[in-house]
Amino acid sequence: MKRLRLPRSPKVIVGLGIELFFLVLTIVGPWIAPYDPSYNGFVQNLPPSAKHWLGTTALGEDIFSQLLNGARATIVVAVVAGLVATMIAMVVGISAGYLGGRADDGLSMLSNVFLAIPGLPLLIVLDSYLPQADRSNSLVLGLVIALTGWAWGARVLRAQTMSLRNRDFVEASRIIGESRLRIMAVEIAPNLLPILASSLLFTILYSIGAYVTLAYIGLTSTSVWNWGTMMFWAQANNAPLVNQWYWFVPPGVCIALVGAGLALINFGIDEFINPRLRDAGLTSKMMRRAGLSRRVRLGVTPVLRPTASPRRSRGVLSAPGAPR
Amino acid sequence: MSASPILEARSLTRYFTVRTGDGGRRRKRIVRAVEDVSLSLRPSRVTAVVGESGSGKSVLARMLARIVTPTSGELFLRGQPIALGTKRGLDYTRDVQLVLQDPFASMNPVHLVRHNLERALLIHGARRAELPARLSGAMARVQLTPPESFLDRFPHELSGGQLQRVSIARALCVEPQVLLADEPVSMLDVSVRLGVLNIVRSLADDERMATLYITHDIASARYIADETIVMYAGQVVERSDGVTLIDEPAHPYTQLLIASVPDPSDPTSVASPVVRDEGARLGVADVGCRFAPRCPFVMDRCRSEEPPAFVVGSGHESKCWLHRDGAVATPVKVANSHEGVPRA
Amino acid sequence: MTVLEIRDLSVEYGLGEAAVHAVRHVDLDVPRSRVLGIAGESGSGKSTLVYGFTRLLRWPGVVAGGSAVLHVLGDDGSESDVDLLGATERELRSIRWSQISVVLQSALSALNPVRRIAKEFDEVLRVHRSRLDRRGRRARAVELLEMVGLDEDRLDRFPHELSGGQRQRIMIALALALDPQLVIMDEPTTALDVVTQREIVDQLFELRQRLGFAMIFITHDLSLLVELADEIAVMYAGEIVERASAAELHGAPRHPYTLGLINSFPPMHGARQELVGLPGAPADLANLPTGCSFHPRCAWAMEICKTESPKAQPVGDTGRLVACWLHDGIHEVPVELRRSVPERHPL
Repeated sequence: MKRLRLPRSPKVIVGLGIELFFLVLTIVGPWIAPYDPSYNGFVQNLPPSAKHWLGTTALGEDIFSQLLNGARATIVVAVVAGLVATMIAMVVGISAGYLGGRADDGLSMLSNVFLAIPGLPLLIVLDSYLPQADRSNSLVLGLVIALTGWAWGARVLRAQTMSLRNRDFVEASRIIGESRLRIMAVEIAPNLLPILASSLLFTILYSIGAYVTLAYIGLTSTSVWNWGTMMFWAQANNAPLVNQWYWFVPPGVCIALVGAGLALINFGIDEFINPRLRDAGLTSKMMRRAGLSRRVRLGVTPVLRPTASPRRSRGVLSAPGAPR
Repeated sequence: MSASPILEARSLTRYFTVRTGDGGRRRKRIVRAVEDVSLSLRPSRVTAVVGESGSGKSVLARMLARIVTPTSGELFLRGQPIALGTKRGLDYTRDVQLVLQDPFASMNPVHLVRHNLERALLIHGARRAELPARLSGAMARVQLTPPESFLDRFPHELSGGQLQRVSIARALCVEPQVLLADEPVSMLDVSVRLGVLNIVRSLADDERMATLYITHDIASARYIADETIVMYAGQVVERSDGVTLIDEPAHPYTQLLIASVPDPSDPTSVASPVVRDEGARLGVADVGCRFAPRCPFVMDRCRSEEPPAFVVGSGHESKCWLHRDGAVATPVKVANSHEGVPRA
Repeated sequence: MTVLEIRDLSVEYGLGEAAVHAVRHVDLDVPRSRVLGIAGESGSGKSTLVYGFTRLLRWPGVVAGGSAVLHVLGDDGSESDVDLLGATERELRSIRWSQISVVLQSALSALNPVRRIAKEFDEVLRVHRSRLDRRGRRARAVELLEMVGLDEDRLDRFPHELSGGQRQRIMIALALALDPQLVIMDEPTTALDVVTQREIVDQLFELRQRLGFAMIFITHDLSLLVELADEIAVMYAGEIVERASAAELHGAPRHPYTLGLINSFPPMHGARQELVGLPGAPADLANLPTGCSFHPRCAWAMEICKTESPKAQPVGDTGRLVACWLHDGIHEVPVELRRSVPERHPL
């Protein structure tokens, strides 16, 4: 079975660390919050102190509790939206790329339409049609956001599928009689894993932005705490003007961190999935020890300082006559 | 001697329209990739098709495998005509299989080797319970034992020769009666080629497989083929059994081909006086004999009329006006064949 | 008189434990004005060897040890030595193309697709032959094209308008533009069809007779080398296993690998019979066998072959070398490996 290669790149480790942290927060946030985030009986506009780590809002609520509670909705919606959008993109993109002809024309037109329509206005329109009750439903919101975010991924997947379609192994599958559906799902899709992963991460990123924006302009239900809503209230109460940074900066920073973590993972993803892209275990330390400058220019192959004859790697005897 | 053919092609033709030019000068050009090719594949016989790139041999293989639709021509499977242009259908797939040139490209890199063979078996009706036995059987036929050490690997962990054998095993899982091999050893290391060629030959000898072997290497065709067909610019220019073809080539192109092959044991192939670069751009004629622009024996008739295939010996045909009066051209050295031909 | 002297050259990919030893302790002499053929399969190290000593190897390739000295013959007959491995980038640039030129394996894609051929020649000549003016460079380009059998009108074309054979001829012309002492060809005809290959090889032969440069011709097609080369070195798993004149190598091979390789080419004449060639597959450089790298595939492998790697030793008195324990003078040499070169051998 394929061994899971642990990521070694610092980028990926940092990115994964950040996301893991927020994932945990999503789950335990509301439990470890010191107070009920909606309780508004505290003294208003208090600066950070031992009792209120991030102070209180203009309505007397504890900001830190809001932050911890806000993680859940924000992240759940973003992940749901990302997953749904990527799935739609996969189905549409791979079908369009593989089937070609009229199916491709139709599906491509669909993607282009969704790409061309400006995302935010569409979101606002769709959102305004939602009954009030659903505006607090994370899943429904996630779906709505997904509807505006799938098209880009679909285009990328379509392009990749078109190039894979002509590869020999796809032709070989056709030759042994494999059905089209199975070829798309079993032969082509697994080869698109790096792109799918990347698309998922980017879509989650986009979804956070979309959701926070919706919340910030007040289109989501205020009964569900999320980072965007926090900033909405902060803005509504002129927090920036009175330099109440502890109200709107923490949620902003959290959003930025989640986004940065996703981006870092994305950078490292190719390396993780395709180990052949990594250099043969070459680190700066090794190069310095060998007496090589870090930058190797093309056309000037480095020559190592004379060393003892190189050690042989452990030999393996293969049975004579075994055909290979 | 020969049983009736399992797969027979008559006058297979395939044209491609190519749009060339840009902006104002859009032109449509017709590329005659394969023209009027007939051949028969019989049980226990290996038929080789020898040609360079551009000769149409790969398109021919794909037409026989029915993954490319011929522009015209007929196909017969066990004597029954096949309706071309309809979908291939599992039955045809079961009878006729194709092995491709690049072993690494013909296996999906994300799946174990086992997956490829299992799919071939399952699609054609094997039950899950039979799989291990049938997998072992298929691997044994291509001499890859013990099977587990190859099945439970990823394609990139095997060598080219092993992977090509797996490719053949995959085709065999379907239990075809016809095996089409498109340059199966061209991308393999030299020392590995014989092993795979021997397997191809043994399939014909021991399992009565009707085999098509496509190659650009005429020596390997001589080694395993019963009948060898030479293609040039989409047409069959000569056919015979391999030994006669090389010892007594009748068509000028075949002669040129043979003279060009490095043959250390043949004294006449030692380097000859310099050759100007003529052939490539002069290329292929649209009217008359396709080889006329490069032919050292070219006559006026060749430029205006396409020659038919003349019989020049038992089972030996050649498509050249030289044979009209029963004559056979004498083989020439490469040097002479370029004298007097106009500069490119 | 040698133009290139290589001693104990080792080239690796990567560093330290995980490094792959692609070329291992190779000694090579290239005589002036002669053709040396290097034959080998994948993993043999033949290309890596050449890119190693010309310092053209891409990262993570490094030259791990040894020496490579180019003996440059001046116009006045004097000889100066260039230490290729110790040279600075400046020194390398001054001898590149003017003393050593390379026709790469991917020559067909080495030409810039958006430049006309004339521009390629113009560039090379402008940098290295600054005395020439525009017309002079054009004239020289025409002269070079003539030398490789092409017409002047090819100069004004783009690469995609030319056939594979014509592009290869252009690469050869470019390689000869500055009259180098050594021309290296890495699989120059592999991508071409047999007829074009014959034309190119004949052209090379004639050019070498005329201009007198030394040539290293790398290929996996041993039968091609037998015709073209004066001397052939066979490489396996990063080492040279046999070196001899072309006639000796083909008519009377001494190394089991060479014999197996020769037997892997189906003959064009003679009775049809089943050939066996070599069992197994070329050694995996990341997992080399102990002792002689070839022993798992060798029909005559002995105990010592599994533990100790044989060094290249002279065999006979013609200066040929073989790295095989069978020829160490103690063991009995099998009949197939002690043939004499046939009298009537064409070469």
